[in-house]
Amino acid sequence: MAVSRTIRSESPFETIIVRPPLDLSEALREELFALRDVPGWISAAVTRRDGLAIQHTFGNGHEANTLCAMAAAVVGSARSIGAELRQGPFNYSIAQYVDGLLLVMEAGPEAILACLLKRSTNLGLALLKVTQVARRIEARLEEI
Amino acid sequence: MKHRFTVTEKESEAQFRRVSQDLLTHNPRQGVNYWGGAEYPTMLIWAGRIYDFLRVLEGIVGYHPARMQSYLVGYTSGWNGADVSARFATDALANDGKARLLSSGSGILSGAGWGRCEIEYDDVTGAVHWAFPEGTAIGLAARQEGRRDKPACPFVAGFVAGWTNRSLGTKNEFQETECLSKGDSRCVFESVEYLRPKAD
Repeated sequence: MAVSRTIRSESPFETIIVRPPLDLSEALREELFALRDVPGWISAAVTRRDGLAIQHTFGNGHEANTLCAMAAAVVGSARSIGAELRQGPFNYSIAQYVDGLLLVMEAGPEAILACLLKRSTNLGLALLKVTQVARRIEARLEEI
Repeated sequence: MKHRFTVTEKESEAQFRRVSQDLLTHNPRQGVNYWGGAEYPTMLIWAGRIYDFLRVLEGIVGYHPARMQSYLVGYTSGWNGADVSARFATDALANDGKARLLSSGSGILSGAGWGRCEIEYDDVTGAVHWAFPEGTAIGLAARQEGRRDKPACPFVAGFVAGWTNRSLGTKNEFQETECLSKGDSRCVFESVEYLRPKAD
């Protein structure tokens, strides 16, 4: 039998990550930082429809990549449920945790916006602001 | 300069003996196979079950996230396959190291039963194109399940991306531009710098 060799198995996300075009990532960085005005805002990420991160404000890239993959799955699952139960198109999803809130929203046909907020956030206000940013992201993506 | 790497039917037979027999070792105690001296357990699996990975997942999370997850698994497989193959000095089909490793992908894939393919690489533009004139094994299996409107082989797209990027030191994505299960006559995967998938 051949001698076993140790092969370093690269983390798929680390090897696969493709950088978005600079104009795209810069435009979205601007929009994401506008979310800082939302009371209770912690971090946010914009992901491609398939879950690959486009831009984020997380300090940790691994955390952002994982969130983006899951946000795409959340939207995909919610859309599937909506179609299955004939409830129409998806608007947004909110997950409430003991320590915080995760708000996931579509930002046009090609992006998803995921925001991490403090548990005490005024949800109505946050939704209003995040929806506005999602629309601006959609518009910026249409331009580029 | 454009490079083109092909595998004839005769070469495919030879690659089958090499890849699926000579390079495969059996550990009788475990009842498990190993390939190319690598420590990864290797086994035969129905191509349709690889397709099922996409089919089941897309039924839950939708096509795009399911495609990416399937692509990621294929990517690691392609990357690791090229990594192991980089150690086979006798694979030389071209005189450049990177292109040589890229070229070996066609022989490995046909020898492993994934499908006979032709690879085109333009070293000026960096464009890479993998075409399977008879389809991939997964595409053939998917076609048996019925006509699709979206490609069935993100696993192979990921595989060729991983193999290509490991060979050339690039970070390209690949998309399936032709797919047997969509009614095309062959399966084709083309490199792109950055994909922008959109919702239906």
